[in-house]
Amino acid sequence: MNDRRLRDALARTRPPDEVEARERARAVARAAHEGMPARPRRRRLGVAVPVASAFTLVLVAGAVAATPPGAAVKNWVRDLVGGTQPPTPAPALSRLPSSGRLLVTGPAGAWIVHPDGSRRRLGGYTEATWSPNGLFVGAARERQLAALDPRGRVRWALSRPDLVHDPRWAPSGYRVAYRSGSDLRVVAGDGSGDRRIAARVRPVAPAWRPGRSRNELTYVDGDGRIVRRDTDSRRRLARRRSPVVPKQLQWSPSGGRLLITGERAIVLIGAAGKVQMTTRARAGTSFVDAKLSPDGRRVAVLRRSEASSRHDVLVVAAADGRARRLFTAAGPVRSLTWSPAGRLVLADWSGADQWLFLAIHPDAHTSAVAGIAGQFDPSLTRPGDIDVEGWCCR
Amino acid sequence: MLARACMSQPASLLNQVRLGSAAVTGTARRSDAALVRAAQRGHADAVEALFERHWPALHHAAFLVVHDGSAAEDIAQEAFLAALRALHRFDRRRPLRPWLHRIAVNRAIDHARARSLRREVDADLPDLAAASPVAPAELDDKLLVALAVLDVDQRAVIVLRHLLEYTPGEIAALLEIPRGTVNSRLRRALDTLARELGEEER
Repeated sequence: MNDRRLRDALARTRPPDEVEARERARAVARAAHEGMPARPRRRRLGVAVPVASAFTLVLVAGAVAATPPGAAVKNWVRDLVGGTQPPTPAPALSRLPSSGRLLVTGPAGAWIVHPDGSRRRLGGYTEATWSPNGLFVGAARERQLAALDPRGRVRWALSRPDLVHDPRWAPSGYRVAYRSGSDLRVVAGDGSGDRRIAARVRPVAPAWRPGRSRNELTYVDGDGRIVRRDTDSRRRLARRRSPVVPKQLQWSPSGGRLLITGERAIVLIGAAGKVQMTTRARAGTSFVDAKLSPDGRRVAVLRRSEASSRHDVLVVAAADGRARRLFTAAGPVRSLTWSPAGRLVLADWSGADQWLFLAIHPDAHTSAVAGIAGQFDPSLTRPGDIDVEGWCCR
Repeated sequence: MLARACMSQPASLLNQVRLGSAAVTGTARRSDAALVRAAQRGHADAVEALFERHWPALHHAAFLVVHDGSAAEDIAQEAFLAALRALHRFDRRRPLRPWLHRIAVNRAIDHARARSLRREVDADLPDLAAASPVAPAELDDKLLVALAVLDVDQRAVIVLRHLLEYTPGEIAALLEIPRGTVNSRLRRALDTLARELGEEER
C-alpha cells in the first residue's frame, strides 16, 4: 500500500454519526466557553477609570439603598436568599467541582455529566441508577427497564405490562430491583431471571443493603411495614413497623444502619430495628429529602417551610443528631446529592434553576451553576424538570 | 496554518471552511492566532470558528485510534474542552493545530490503554458480557479491520503521519518519543497493514 492510497483510505474512513456528534460537541463547547472568564484587554487608561468607577458605584449604591425603592430591593434580595449569601453562579456547567460523574434525568432523557463538564445523552429514559462502580446504568422509561453502558449502548432491555419505576442496582452488581405497577421485582444484572419479589408494595424506592454476601433488599409493604428480604431465596429476613411513614429508605455504606425519611421525621435505625437517631421537623416545616454521606457519619437534610417557599439545607451528625444549617433558599430545592468523597453536597435549587455545590469539608469551596434546565434541554421553558440521580464514583 | 489544516480534510469540510457557514462568516479567513486572541477575550464567534475548523480532524483522528464512535466523540469533546480551558495561557506565537492534535491523540492513546484494563474489571461482573471494544458495524471498512490489528501506539503514528500529515520529527515532538521510535513504529505498522490487507485481498 503506497502513502497516497493509505491517506485516501484513512480520509474515507469516517466516524459514525459524524454530523450529530459535531452538533452535540458544539453545544458543549459553546456552554463551556460561556462559563469561562474572558481574559481582559490590556488597560491603557491607568488606574483612574477603575477608581472613579468604584467611587461612583459606592455613591450610587448608597443613594439607592437610602431610597424606599432601594430598601425594597435590599429586602427582596434578603428574602430571596434567606439571609444566606449564595455564591455567584457560573453561567454554564464547565466542570464538576469534585471527581466522579453525575447521572441526570430530564424530559429530554438521561445524561452523564463528566468531570470536565462534557455530557453524554444516554437515551430517552426518565429514571436511572448507577451500577456500584459506575460501569453501567440501569434506566427506566414507561414500561421498559434497560441496562446501558456509560456510552448509552443498550446491553439488555425488558418490557413489563405496567409502568417501571425506581430502578436500583444492588451493591454486588448482580441484581437490579425495580417497581412495576404495585409489584416489586428483581432481575439479574445480565437481564435474565426477572421475577416478582413482592406484590402490593408502597411507591417507595427499594434499598439494597450493602456489605452482605447475599442480596438483601428493603422495601415498604402494603401495610407500611419495612421488610427486608433475601431476593435469591425470597426468604423474609425482617418485617417491622416503621417509626415514621416512610417515603425514602437508604442503608449506610456498612449496611449497619437504615435511614428512614418521612415528612415529619428522619430516623436512623440499627439493623435490629433499634432507633439510634431521630430528627423531627419543626412546626410548619417538613422534610423533602435526606441522604447519608458516603462515610455514613452525616445526613444531608432538605427541609421545606410550609408557610413560604423557603428551603433549608442542613447537615445532621448521625451520632447525636446535632444539626448545622448550610444554606437557605427561596423557591424549591428538589434534592440533595453527596459528592463521591463526601466533600460537597449538590443541592438542585430548581427555584433558581441552579445547582449549588455546598462545601462540607473545610478544604472544599461552595460554588453554583446557573441555567441548568436549558443546558440539558434547550427547549425547556421552565426550570425544575431536571433530576440528579446519582454522583459516582471516586 | 489554515491551508495546512485544510490539506488534511476531506473535500466537504474543505468547502465548508472555504465558504464559511452563517455562524463563521467573517471568521473563516482569520488565522488561528487571531481567532485564539478573540476567543481569549471571550468572543463566542471565534470559539465557534475554531471549533468548526478543528473539530472534524480531532474527531476523525480519535476514531481511527480508538475504533469506537462514542469514545471518539468523548475524546474529541474532552480535547477541545481541555484546549478551551487552557486557551487563556496559550502562547499565540505557537501553532494551534499541533497542540490540539497532541491533546486528542494522547487522550485517545490513554483511552485505548485504559479500555484494555477496564475489560478485566468488566469481567468482575459476570452477569454482563464484556463490552466488545469494536462495534461490528464500524468494521465495514477493510482498512479499519486492518488498523485494529495494530497496537495503539502504531495506530497513533499512522494517523498522525498519514491522516494529519505530520513529519516523523513533528510526531516525535507531539508524542514526546525519539524520532527513531516513530520511524520504527511506522515501518512495523505499514508492514502489518500491507500484510493484513494483502491477506484480505487473497
